[in-house]
Formats: sequence, C-alpha cells, structure tokens
Amino acid sequence: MLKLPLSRRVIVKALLLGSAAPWVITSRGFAATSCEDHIVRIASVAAPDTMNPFATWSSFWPLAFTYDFLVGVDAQRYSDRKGFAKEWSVADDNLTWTFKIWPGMKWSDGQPATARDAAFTYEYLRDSVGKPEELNVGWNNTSGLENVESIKALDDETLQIVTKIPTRWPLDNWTMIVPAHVWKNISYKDARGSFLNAPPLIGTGPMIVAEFQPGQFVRYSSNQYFRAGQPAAAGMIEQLFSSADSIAQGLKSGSLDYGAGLTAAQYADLSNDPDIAVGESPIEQRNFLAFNTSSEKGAGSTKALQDPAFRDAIGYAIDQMAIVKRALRGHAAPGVGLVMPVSTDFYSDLSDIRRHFDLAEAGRRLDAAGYRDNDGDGVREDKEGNSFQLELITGPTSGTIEMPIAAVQLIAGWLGQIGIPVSVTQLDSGALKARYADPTNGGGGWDLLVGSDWPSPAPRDLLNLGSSKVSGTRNRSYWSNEKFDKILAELDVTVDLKKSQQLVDRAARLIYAEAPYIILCYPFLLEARRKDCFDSWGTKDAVSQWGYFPLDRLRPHNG
Amino acid sequence: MTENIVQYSPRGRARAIKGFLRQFLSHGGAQVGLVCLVFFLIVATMPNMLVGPLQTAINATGDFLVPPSGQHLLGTDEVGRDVLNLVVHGARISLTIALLATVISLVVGTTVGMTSGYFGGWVDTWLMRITDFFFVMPSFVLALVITPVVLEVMGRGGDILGFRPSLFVIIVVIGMTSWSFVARIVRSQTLSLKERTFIDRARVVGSSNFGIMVRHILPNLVPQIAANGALVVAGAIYIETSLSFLGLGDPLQPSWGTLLSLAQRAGAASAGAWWYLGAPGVCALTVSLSFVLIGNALDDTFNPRRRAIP
Repeated sequence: MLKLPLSRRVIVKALLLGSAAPWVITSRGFAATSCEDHIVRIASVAAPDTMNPFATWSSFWPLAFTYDFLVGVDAQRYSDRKGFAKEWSVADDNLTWTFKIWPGMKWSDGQPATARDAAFTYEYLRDSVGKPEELNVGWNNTSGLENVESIKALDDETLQIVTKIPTRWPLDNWTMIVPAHVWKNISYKDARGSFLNAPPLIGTGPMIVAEFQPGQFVRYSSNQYFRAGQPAAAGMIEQLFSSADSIAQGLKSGSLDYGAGLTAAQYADLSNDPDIAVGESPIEQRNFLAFNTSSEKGAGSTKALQDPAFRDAIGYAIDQMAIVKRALRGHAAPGVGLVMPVSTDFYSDLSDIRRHFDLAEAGRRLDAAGYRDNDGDGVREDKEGNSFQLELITGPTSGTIEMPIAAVQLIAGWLGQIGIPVSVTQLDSGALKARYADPTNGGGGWDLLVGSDWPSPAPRDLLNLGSSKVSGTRNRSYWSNEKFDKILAELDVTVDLKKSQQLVDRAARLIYAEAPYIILCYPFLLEARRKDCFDSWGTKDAVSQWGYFPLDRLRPHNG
Repeated sequence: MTENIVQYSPRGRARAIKGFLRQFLSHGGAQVGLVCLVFFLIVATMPNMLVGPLQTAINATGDFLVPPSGQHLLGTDEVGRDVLNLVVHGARISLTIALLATVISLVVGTTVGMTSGYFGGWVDTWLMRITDFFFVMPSFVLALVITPVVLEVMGRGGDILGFRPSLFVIIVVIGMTSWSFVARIVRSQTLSLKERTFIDRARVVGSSNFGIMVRHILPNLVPQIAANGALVVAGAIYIETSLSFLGLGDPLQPSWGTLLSLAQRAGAASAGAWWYLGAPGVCALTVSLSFVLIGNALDDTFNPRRRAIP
C-alpha cells in the first residue's frame, strides 16, 4: 500500500502522455504524409447553410465546385475556363442567343447532361415568377428573367434564349445549372426553403459535395463523369472556420493546401515559409466612404452632406495611397471611380478629373463653398452656423474582405485636421445593414459610412452603387440622379461592348464629380497554398473566386 | 442636533492608521499589488511625458509588426504604431474607465444596500428584488446589450463631462451592472449595525434617519466597501476589456481591450506577433490581479473575526 502514491503518479503521467499523443501525431513532422491520399484540403471563413442553390446566398463555395454556370464570369475572361456551354453567339438582332452545350457531357450520376437541363433550370425559375413562392431568395433567382421571351433546347447540344430587349443577361447570369431529373419533382415551396438537396449532390463540376456538416466541413468526391475526364485529385475537404487565424495555422502545420482571406500580417508571416506560396488576387471588391445625401427622412446631422461642393472638398482630404500603404500594407489598388481595375473592359483611371490628396486644397474648397470656421475654435461651421460633428459608421459586410480599422482612423484623422471632427461607431454586419437601409425602412440618421461591396463584373452591377432603384441596399448613400438613372436604363438594353463601355464611363465620371462616394481602395484577396501536395494552381488567382478553377486540373505533386 | 461621533484624538487616529498599515502590508500580496498599482497609476497620469503623444495611423512611422527592439521596446502594431506608446496611453483610458465605473458601482450599491438594510419592510423587499435582477443577470451580457442601445440613443458626437460619449457610456454601463454584489454585502452589514446600541443612542438624541445612515452606519461600512471596491475594479477592467475586444469600444481611443481586439483582427496570433497581443493582455492581467490582491488583503485586515468587537 505504501507504493500506491508512486504508481498513481505513473498513471497520471501516462494519461498526460496519452493525451499529448494526438497532438504530436498531427504536428508538422508527421503531416507530410497527408499528400498520399490525393485529397485537396482547403479552408474558408464561411457559413454555408444549405446545399439548395435556390434557397440561399451563402453557399456559393460548396455549390460552385459542384454545379456549372451556363457562361458566368470566368468563361468570359479566360479561354480555358468554361461552364455548361462550350461556346455561344448572338444573332444580329442582339436578341437571339445560341449556346452550344458540351457534347456527351454527363451528370455525376452518369445520366446525360444536355441543353434540356439548362432550359429546365431557367424555365423552372421563370415559371415561378409572380407566384407567392417566387424563387427570388437565393443564388438561383428570377431577376433578369422578366426580359426573356423564350428559352428552348433546340436539340441536346443547342440552347436558344430569346430576349425581349437587347441585354447581356444570358451571359451575365449566375444561375447554377441543376439536373432536371432531380429538380422536376421539387415544388417551388420546397425549393424556396425546406428542400435541403442533401449530399451526395448531382452536378457537372469537378468536385461533387459528398458530405456536409454545417459549421464544420464539406467533403467532396471527384466527379468520374467530369467532361474533361475525372480530376486527378481524389477528392476535396473544405474546412469551415470562423476566423482566418485557423487558416493561417492550418497552412503552416501542413493540414491545409489552400486558404484565402488572410490578413496582411498572416500573409507576411506565411510568405517566409519555403513550403508556402502566397498570392494576392485582384477581385471586384471596392471599399468606399459614403455620404448620407438624403435630404428628407433619415438625413444626416448637417445639410452640407447634400452639397456636392462639400463632398468634393472632402475628396481632397482622403489620401488613397496612404490608405493602401498604411492600412492595407500595399495589398490593394488605390481607389478612383466605381469601376475596379480587375474589370479591364470598363476600368478607367479618370486621370483628367481625378482629385489629389491635399489638405490645404480641401480647406480652400471648404472655405469657398461657405464652410468656414467663423468662431475660431478650430471646428468649421455649416451654413446654418452649427459646428460640424459627423458620425461615421463602419463595420464588416458579409461576403467581403474586412476593411482594417486603421483606414477609418486615417479618415477620421484627416477630417479632424481640416476642422471637421468625426466620431466612429463600429457595428456588426447586420446592424450596419439596418443603419444604411432606406429611411422608409428605418435606416438613415448617420453622416458618413465606410463600407465595402463585392459586385459582379457585369456593368449594371458595377454601377448599382449610384442607382436610385436600389437605394438603401446596394446604394448606400441614398444618392439619386436622373441623368445617372437614364444611363443605367440605356445600359440595360445595350449588348454591344463598345457602347456599354462608353455608357459606363459616362456614368462613372458623373458620379465621381458628384461624389456621393469616395472610393478608398480595391483590396486584393490574400491567399496562400502549400507547394508540397498539388501542382497547377492558377498563377494570378490560385483558386478562382467565380468558379471551380483550378480543381478540374490540379495534379498531385511529382505524381 | 448633537454631534455624536466618537472623536479620536489625533495621536490615537495616527496609531490606528499605523496599525492598519502594518497589518495590511504584512500581506505579501498587498505589497505586490500596491507596487504594481502605483506603477500603472504613474504611467496613466503622465503618458505624454513617458512616451510622447498618442500615435495614430496618420503619424505612425514604424514598420509593420516589428518585433521588440531598441527603437520599439514592445514592437509595433499592424499599422506601424509603437505598441509601448499605445499600451501606455491605453493605461489611462482603461484605468479611468475602471475606476470611475467602480465609483458609480460603489455609490449605487452602497445607497441601495444601506437604504434597504436600514429601513427594511417593503423598501427592503423591492430594492432587493431589483438587486436580484442585476445579480442573476450576468453583468457582461447585460452590458453587451445595453451599450449599443445607449450609444444609439445618445450618439457619439461631442463631449460628456470631458469624455467621448462612447467611453462615458461604457463607464456608466459597467457601473450600473456591477453594483448588486456591493449592495448585498452592504445590506447585510447594515442589518447587523442598526441593532447596535450606538444607533439606538443616536436615535434617542433625535438624529434623523439620513443623519444616522450617513454619520453612524456609513463610516462603519467603509472596510467592506473598500475591500469589495477593489474587487469591483478588477471586474470592471475585465468587462471593459471584453466589451472593447468585441468592438464596442472607441477605435480612436485605444484602451487595452481595443488593442487586443485590433491585434486579433490583424491576425497577430497566427502571425506570431506575441508582443502585440501580449503587452495589453499582460497589463490588463497585472492591474486586475493587483486589485484582487489588494482587495483580499483589505478583506483579511478588516475581517471582523480577526479583530476585537467594540
């Protein structure tokens, strides 16, 4: 009995060692063997909720690997990335679109995937228009279908879409093509909500969702019927994390092959690792400073916000280069107009009308516009004689890269230097949305907003920031301008790229001069991948943000 | 009205204080706590003399996330500001918030506790039910809910009593959510005190209720209030740090919690920037620990079981 304490200690030690064993085994030293199973391991900060593309906006990533778009963004930008359609053309009337579907394509269950499936998907959506269960709550939605005259599968390989007006919607819609033999039995009510589309899914993409655990992971198996041949990777696991810290750790330890949405600090840290390649991928996100230009309900604390001269003067007090260098450590392009540089078809640097950073000039312009500091307390007064005290609200927008708070510190600092004190309120994404909602829906009452959005590169979406039709949702500043709306209306019925470019340029110049927004920067998506397991990642973007590239062509390293 | 307070002779009072200090300082924890506290109080009173004016993103000069070196003793943050500078300026904000919130909490707690204990009856019942509400409600959750609402109502502009409204709100919210513990203790002590003969004596000579409470009961409560006050400060620092960590603080005035929040959002943990997370974390820990140590030592010193009952 005397020996009992000793043996107890031994037992405790053994327990401790035993509990440490899983740690040791999963540590970096042993992780190298994980390449053997040829499974791609990626991670994202995301919260997909259902695998039903008609019922959710937040499951883009799992679904984009499994389903194809008819054309989509990547297919218009890169000749080697295609969607459901192999090629497409439009007739001279700009109304009749013909899409050639890949011959012999199959769904992942082996059934033929034809133009009829694509026609079914669009018809399925279109038939719901006007019904109480209209399918307008998810990624696959009815918007734009009101301009469509007919959708027909001429044969298995030819899809014809005839539109009522000239529109690029047939190319610029992000509807995921789903198999008719699964969805024909689903009622609209179920498609809108309760139908979970439980894995394994049936799609035409390279990676098919095989298992989905909300908040934990998505497991994919490679599609043996993929049109370009079964992908070399045996499958994929997507870890769902709530912060980028876990992604950075996973990449370092070797338990992840790819992760995106890193912070600048993590990027710098990972770039020192010889096994890891980091990249900054230009995306469509733009970060902006918006003014509350509403003059009625929900107006800001001063009428100056409604004065273009005031907003223009503020534009001279914002140093986009400093924001890029200081706050984003160079991982962004400095902001100019509504269009971001990655949208090469429409981007313009507006060099002839561009404002430059000059606090003295900002002060002169404020003086000239009648916003002087008359009582000498260092704070300017507006035309009603009240001292300025602007409330700036900021917060993350779900689905975009978070803006470092240092950018807000910079803006508040500059405005303070020209005699316009600013107080800052940080909100979460839901509360921010409620604040910038249209005043008729309870929003408004703020003065300045620092936010971000990530529109699609379709010209209409690029300009939505100034459209009075989406005031309080996409248009955060409540700004409305008849000329601008007219250009948008014209753009809606324009197919010709050259003419679209001219219209976008006119609109971008108009809104730049009126300055309801000061565009701060176009941030890059910071991503990192390990080199030891797979090759043939993308060069500009390691993994596309608009489709399943490069999972259709990843090859095991040395394999 | 007769002045009925027992007047100590000056020498007697000095001896009493000396005795108290000797007993108090015989606790090792109290010594450590006092030294830390005095250090941080000095730091908080003259940040500009020690590290110069507060660095902002505009006048930051350093490189990004540089490890501690001769030039930057505690390294730099993700926008190149000196972490030492931020932590020292943060000390002022964190300590101000914690101390003022404690004052509010002690004033409210003592008032409620003493009133309810002294008067008893329905006053006691009602005040204690209100106290129970704040007692069972986790004060942090309550603060989390109240803070954005109050900020919404009051707005962030201007100055309230020399504070930015967002700081003022945090002070008030912490103060108003952490008084229930004090109220309970004060009430129980009041219940025992009001049965003592010196209270009867005061009543006989015609002192008003208010007079009795302030002149006779309150001085006897000071030990309990002081000991608990030190513990409340520690709690207030935690709550302030947590609220700011969750982004409810003022991003333009860095408290330790705001710094921790910025560090976490910048990914300092996974990028190996231990100094950025560590500096404000250790400061918050040290200060709240020293308050706890002092509070415990005060409690031991004043413990009625360890002193002769008068």
